[in-house]
Amino acid sequence: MEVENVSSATLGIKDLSFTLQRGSILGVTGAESDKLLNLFLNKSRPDHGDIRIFGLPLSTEDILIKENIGVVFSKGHFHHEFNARQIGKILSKVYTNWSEAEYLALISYFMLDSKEKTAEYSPEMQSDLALAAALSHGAQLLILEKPHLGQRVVDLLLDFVHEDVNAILLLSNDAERLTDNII
Amino acid sequence: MKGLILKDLFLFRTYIAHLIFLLIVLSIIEPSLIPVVFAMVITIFFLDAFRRDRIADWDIYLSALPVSSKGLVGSKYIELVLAFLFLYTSSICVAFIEYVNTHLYIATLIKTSLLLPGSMVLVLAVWLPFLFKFRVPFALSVSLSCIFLVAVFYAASRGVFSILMNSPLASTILTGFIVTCISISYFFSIRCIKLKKG
Repeated sequence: MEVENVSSATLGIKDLSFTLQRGSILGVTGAESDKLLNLFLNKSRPDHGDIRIFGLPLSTEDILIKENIGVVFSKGHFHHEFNARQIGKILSKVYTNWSEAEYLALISYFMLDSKEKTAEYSPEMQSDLALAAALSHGAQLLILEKPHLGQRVVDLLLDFVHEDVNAILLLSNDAERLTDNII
Repeated sequence: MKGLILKDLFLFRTYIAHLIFLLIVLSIIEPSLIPVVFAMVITIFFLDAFRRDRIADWDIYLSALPVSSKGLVGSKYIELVLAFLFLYTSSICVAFIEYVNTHLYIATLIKTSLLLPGSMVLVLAVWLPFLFKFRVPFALSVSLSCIFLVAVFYAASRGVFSILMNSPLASTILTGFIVTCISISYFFSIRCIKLKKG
């Protein structure tokens, strides 16, 4: 992921530049994570600068890029009346590389009840569910917004970047728990 | 697109019990009310789906999914067409029941069956672009829609549309009207989504 001289007056971002290499974790602290996410998900266009992910320009290839990135937001955005199994069924029709087996394995790794409505989940469990969903479609880049970094999550994330093909962008003031590479 | 339709079908599950209950009650009391009540329930479901998406902040999660604006808008219009077909089928079934009971002219009954599904399409075709762009108050949208549907039903039962219904071109005119409504609404919804994205 390459971010070059990105500025956005409306988002209050000026000359943001960084490169995130495969196999690494980059922490971004001190910024408003929701505004950065808007930029990295192509919800807002920068006034200047360029964002490329997997070598592709985000402004025009965002659908293709989003097939290969997983995003975990600071709070769950699944409908509370759904359970993990239903969410898996929905996402299996959204992502072309969805792996139901991987998803169910992660649900069980986080000890979540797949038949329980997500309304009954704690915020940490909702975050775990979002992470399970983000890791079940062969994502090569994970963007995490203020994640809850329990030991199971940390182990999973370190394992994710261990393969040197994946990378993590951590938008959190707690980023030093996972990496020294912080901007 | 399929995923978004499936999401709405899961949301729709809570309405199925209501529909079955209404079907049983109305079949006993007054079958001719089935189309107008179904039209209201389906319209309320559409408006409620947007409300429940807003409560869950689904828009935020959606921004991370590989779904284009056309896919997002298209999914709602496919649902609208499916809802229309469901309601039209229900209306035709009711028309046959009425034919058996009243021996009214069957062709007129079938043509009349297009009126309520067409009105429902008109209501939702007007609302959808607004719902994609703005936070329309749920109570306002539901009450206006239901008032309109009841008004159409009342007007139809009073024979207000008899000139149109007696015309040999009634089915063609109504079908053309429905297709035009959906096309114009789809065009505006796409524009609204793009404006919202900036």
